[in-house]
Amino acid sequence: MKVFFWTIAGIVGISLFYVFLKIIADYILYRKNEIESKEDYNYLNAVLLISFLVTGLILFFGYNYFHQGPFLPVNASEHGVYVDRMFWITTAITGFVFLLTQILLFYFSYKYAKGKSKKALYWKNNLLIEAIWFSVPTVAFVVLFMTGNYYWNAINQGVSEDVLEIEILGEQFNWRVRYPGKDGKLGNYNFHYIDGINAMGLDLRDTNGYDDFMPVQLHLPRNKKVMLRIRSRDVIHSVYIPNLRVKMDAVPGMLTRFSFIPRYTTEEMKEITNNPDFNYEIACAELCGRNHFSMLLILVVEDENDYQRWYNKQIPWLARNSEYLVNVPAPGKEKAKLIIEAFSGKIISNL
Amino acid sequence: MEVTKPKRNKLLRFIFTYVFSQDHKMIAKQYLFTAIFWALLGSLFSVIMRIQLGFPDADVSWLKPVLGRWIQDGRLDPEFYLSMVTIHGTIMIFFVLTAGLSGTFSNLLIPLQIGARDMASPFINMLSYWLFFISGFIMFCSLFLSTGPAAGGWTSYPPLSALPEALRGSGGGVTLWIISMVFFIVSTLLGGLNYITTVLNLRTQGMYMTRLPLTVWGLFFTAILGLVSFPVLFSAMLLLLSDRTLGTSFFLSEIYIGGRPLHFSGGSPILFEHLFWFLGHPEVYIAIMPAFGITSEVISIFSRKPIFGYSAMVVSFFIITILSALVWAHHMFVSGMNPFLGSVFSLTSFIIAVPSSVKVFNWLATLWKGSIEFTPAMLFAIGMVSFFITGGLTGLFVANPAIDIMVHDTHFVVAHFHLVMGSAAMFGFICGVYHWFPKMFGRLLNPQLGYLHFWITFAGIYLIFFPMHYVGMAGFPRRYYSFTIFESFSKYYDLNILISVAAFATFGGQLIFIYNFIHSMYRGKTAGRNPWRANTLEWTTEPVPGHGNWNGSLPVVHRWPYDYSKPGAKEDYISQTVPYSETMDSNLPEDQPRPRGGKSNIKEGEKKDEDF
Repeated sequence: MKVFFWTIAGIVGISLFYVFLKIIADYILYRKNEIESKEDYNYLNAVLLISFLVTGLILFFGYNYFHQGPFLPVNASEHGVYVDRMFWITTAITGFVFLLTQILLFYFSYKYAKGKSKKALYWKNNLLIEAIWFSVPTVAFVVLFMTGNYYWNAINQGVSEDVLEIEILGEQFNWRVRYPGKDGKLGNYNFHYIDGINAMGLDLRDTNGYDDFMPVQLHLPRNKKVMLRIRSRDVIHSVYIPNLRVKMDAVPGMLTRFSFIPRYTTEEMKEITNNPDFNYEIACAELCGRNHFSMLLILVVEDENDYQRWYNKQIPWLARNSEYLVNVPAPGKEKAKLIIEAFSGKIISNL
Repeated sequence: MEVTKPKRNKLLRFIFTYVFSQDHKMIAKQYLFTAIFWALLGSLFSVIMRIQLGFPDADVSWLKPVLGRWIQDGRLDPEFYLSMVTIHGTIMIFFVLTAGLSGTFSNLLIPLQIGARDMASPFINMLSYWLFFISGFIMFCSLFLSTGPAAGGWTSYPPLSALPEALRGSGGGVTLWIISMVFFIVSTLLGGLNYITTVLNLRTQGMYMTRLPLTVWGLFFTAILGLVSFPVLFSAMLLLLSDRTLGTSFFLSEIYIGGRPLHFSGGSPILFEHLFWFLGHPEVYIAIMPAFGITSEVISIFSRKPIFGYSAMVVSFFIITILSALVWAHHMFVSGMNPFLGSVFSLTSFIIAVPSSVKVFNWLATLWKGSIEFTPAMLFAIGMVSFFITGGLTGLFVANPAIDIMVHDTHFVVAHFHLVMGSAAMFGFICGVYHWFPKMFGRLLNPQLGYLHFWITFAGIYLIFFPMHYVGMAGFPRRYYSFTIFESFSKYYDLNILISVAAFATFGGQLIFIYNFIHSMYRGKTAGRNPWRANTLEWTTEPVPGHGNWNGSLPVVHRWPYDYSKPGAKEDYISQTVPYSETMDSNLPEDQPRPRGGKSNIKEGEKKDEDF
């Protein structure tokens, strides 16, 4: 592959250099002697245009042919199949139009360069032709839209009953995640309660949140519908998981959602991508400040058993930070105490 | 030129001829020079960005003498990188492709091509330039703030752009950015009003709307679009300013930053996104439509053929103008907006591609069976079409929300819009400069240097932006200081180096143009009246027309501007001022004089030189 490219690049480079030297030499001569240049630039430019097309096409096809690995990141989610299919359908259609129009553009420029043909044709308009090229793109684009819209609706279809809801919160410059405890319900969020320890603004007036826990990594079971509840506590971020085809902005003051089904565990992806260091990575896709480029969170997809094992090891945030018990309002005190006691043994054994 | 005045007024005369001039041609030159300054600065900033992206591990201490404390331990400061991103975008989009492109060519061409002595209001025209100048001056000053210039992206989404705690550049930097934008918007609106009024009211006798050159059509619709959309940005700027300084909550809500919760509640950043993109999307058409017009004109002239489908071209302009105000939310497919809205805006975004494709097909049809002369202007016009095709087609990816999930805010989008509205509009701009340089300075730009400039720039831009699609497909997000932290994005180390090297070379190639421009301004070959053998009215003036444009009475127009290579005609062009009665050999059946349909506000008798 390399040899191929260097050869092409070398030939192109040398010929371009030659042409440039020629033009510069001609420029200097012309300036010095105040004479009209004899060079037939019209022909030269016509030839350069057609060679540009040919070289460009060779490089384009050569690069794609010799390209190693997938163009898009390997997809690992159910709806990602739609995204990818739509992408390649569009590539096929636009690719055809791209080649057709570019070839015509450069070929016409070459073919009809002055001197090579007779007088230009006086041709103002042709209603039939114009009607064709108003209507053919319209039909093509509407078809593309309808296909895309079909997939878009499929991606955004309603959330089923059996769904794992997880909250993900963007801050400068971190992602934080919160899982519901055994009750399966996430507690309320309120930015007024955020402080150094309660970084995700857990609202202790809501008893559902007492057993919520906040791990440092995002773990997901395979083949289960996950709904990310996306928030931000400072500026706009965007949850972006390339391999799962997930992207959704995190907007302060507003809850956004994205649901998806991961199909492969991290281990399986290591085999599929042939990369022993593979990890699902969560990035930020909306400019959020100085360290925007480093908002990395590792996502682990496991099979159901591993996930349950990991899940059972997690300790609720309140149990870890039992000093927050004083902030729990009276009606919830009992439940909070029970949860703290239930996990007190675990915390010690963890230490 | 000006009437000779006593010697003691030499300074005053200089000021009123070159500085506070009300002559539309001088104002056009002022716009052009300002735009060239900003374009150089803007591309220099992109070079700094490419140094960082191409060589993320390199030691850049050698930049320390210029950038000072923005280089720490041999590394570029990430916030300074973001400032470069922001200011590059702002400069290029607003100062170069809006004010520079529209400003230069609307001012130069509208009066000259419609046969007017000047703009409808020369004074407001002058005011418009100087407001633009002030706007640029403020932006320039913001570069030297100790906290750095604005760094929240050219889109300046709050809360990032509203809170100095979130980003240092959002302190004084964004304040100056907003003030600069406000001046800029006022300048654009004044300019636009003037252009529209001039086109509607000051056309010379016989210049019906149906006989306008496509350049004027393009500039006319651009002005309308600017008038519709810029006020919305103005309101967004005012609300943002009010959030920043008066403590209102239009765009801010539930924010915890810098260790404390802020008092804002009830606002929505999404509202800002809507307001911003209501300008932001028409803005790309504001940049590209003058380029459409210039390209149509130049392709027709140098193919020595009438433009194919003149009315289809005008209808396309019209459809684009209407639709471009209805597509803005395709920038927000993944912002949390209702997915159904995503569908609606996806449909309009697909439909707006129809008039654009019609234009491309018409240009191709114009080239077909032409007799093409490759002047530098023609080459740049062909380059513009090529970029527009390449970048326009990737628009069909990003118009589709199902694909946008993957490519939104990645380098794929960067490649897309740089080709379709950045490079294409820029090529339209350069094409226009090569073509109308003789009208501005009475001399020709050197063609050989023009060829060099074209080929370096054309190949360079393809080498920059074509590989960038692949980087974007791999998922690399835009506005990233470095790709090394993520394993997913560091796949294309080599392509990034290639892109950077191509960017440096392309920037170097522009110096050829600068040299050519300055040299030819004083010592270029003199052009004569009509160096391109073109039909439009500007070539019927003196080589360098004085204030008032035409000596004696204004020209009278008898035909459309694209009578090239008409069978039976003596020459391969027939100026718009030649009546059909003089070209009996070449007249076609439809050329028979029709009863007057259009209107002309000035009767022929009144069109004497009263004012000039």
